[in-house]
Amino acid sequence: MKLVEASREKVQAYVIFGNGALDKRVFKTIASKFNHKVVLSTPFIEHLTGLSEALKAIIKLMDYITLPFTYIIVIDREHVESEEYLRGVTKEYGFEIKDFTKIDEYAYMLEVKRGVKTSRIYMAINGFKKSIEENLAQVIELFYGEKVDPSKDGIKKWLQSKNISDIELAQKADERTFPGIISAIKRFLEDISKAVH
Amino acid sequence: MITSLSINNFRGIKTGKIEGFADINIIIGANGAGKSTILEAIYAASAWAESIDNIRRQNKFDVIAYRRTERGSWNESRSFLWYSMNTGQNIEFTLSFSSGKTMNFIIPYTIRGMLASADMNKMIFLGKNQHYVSPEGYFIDERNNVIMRGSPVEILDFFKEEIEFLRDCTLIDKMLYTRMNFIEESVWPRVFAKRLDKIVINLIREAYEPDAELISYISTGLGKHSLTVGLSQTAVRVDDLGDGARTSMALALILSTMNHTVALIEDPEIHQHPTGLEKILSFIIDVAQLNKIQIFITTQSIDILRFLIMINPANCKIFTLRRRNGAIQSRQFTLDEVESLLESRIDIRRIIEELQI
Repeated sequence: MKLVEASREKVQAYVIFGNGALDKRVFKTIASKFNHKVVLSTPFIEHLTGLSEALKAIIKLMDYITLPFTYIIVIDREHVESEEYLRGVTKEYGFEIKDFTKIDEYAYMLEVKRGVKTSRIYMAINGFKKSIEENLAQVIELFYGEKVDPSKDGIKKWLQSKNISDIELAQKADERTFPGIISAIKRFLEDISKAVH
Repeated sequence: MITSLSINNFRGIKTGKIEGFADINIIIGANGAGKSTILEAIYAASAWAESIDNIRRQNKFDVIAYRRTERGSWNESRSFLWYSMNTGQNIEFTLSFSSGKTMNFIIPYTIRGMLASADMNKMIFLGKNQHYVSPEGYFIDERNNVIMRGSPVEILDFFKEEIEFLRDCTLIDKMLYTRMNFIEESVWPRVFAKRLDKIVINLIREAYEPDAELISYISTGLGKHSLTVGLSQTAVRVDDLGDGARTSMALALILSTMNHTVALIEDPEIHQHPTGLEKILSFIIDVAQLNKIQIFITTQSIDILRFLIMINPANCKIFTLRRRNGAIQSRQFTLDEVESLLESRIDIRRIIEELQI
């Protein structure tokens, strides 16, 4: 899948990032391993970090952009404390939950209605307890055999010491290291494939 | 790779030094800060290695004099290119390289002891062991007197790698974005010979014309040809493409033929919708890494910085410039630092002016 800001080709879903540019780079890299014909857009909407802000960004998109009403939220675990919290915040922002599917521990699919519009939100959660740095630390441990402090500074220092980029690290991502992103992408691809057939 | 540049007495720069260049260098700054002059200084220095621009087929000094306002050649307007028309002093450039070697260049306004000719006005000298020598083998002393005519073989040997690196240095600016005839004559045959057109057509398809299939010459009259993009149902002359597509096409065609040299790219955001800018920037970074091209980009575009953060190329630096009384001051940022600034809603383009860094 190609993740771009805007595209001349048909966009299949909008991706909203609940955190920073690192999440974008990692998601873009992992997505590029899947079906190359699918184009995802990360629209240029300025918003703060967190689940509420991500949902607000979706509301803006739903108001101003027509199709598709399919969204992928990529967010750190620290912003989604629990399933109940996810349900609560989603309802708080005026979304009626029609279907709530737990794909696995780190990924959800929500079918929601707001006004007359129905949309699907795929939720990919990074971090086993806190943030995406834990996923990157897991990649380092599995592929380089080294234990690294799963913090921004810890990862940055390790990358500098090895002279490699976070993108190179994300290229090694698999179900063990980035379960949330990979499960959400797989489910999304399954769903659009069913829709075509 | 060029690691630092000093400029004295050239255009609006009386004196200035920028250090710490990387593989990818983004230069930002207010209007008149000296961004374009930096590109022109490197381009002028490269005239020692090769005096003729291999795309425009013109003398590089003429290109420098002509390209901004098309007001005449080097011979007609060169005095304006000396800082404050201070033609009594030489223009000087110093380039340091990752090899550890440093090249000192001078461009004298007047050279004494030579028969006058138009070409003597376009001479550049490279220094070593207190002598300055032109590529033609003229040695001059500190008063710009020609002291002998010989062979520059010693300096050619000493700076062999650096001269090779500078030889194909290319300045890609709005002149090239609009004059597709330069591309058609000088670049396209090299592109097609290696079938690099396939890469370029992919770029055009993804960012501008989704049904673009190929690029080819068509005849436009007796002995005249024009590059044309074949679409699924029709064909469009390259000249008639949208401005953004044409700019990207010029950039992509030129860069894809370059190898182990330096590309000086002025304002690549011209005419670009973010879709096109994102694609062409990815293309520039990919081809630079593949073909070992050192890149210098001048820009006013925050979009370029945002897209760079997404691409996150290794060894990329952002330089902010300001000019005070002819002196250049610069500050360099890593992409991480730019990312933090942007996340804090700080406009890096204004930072040097308003925060007085």
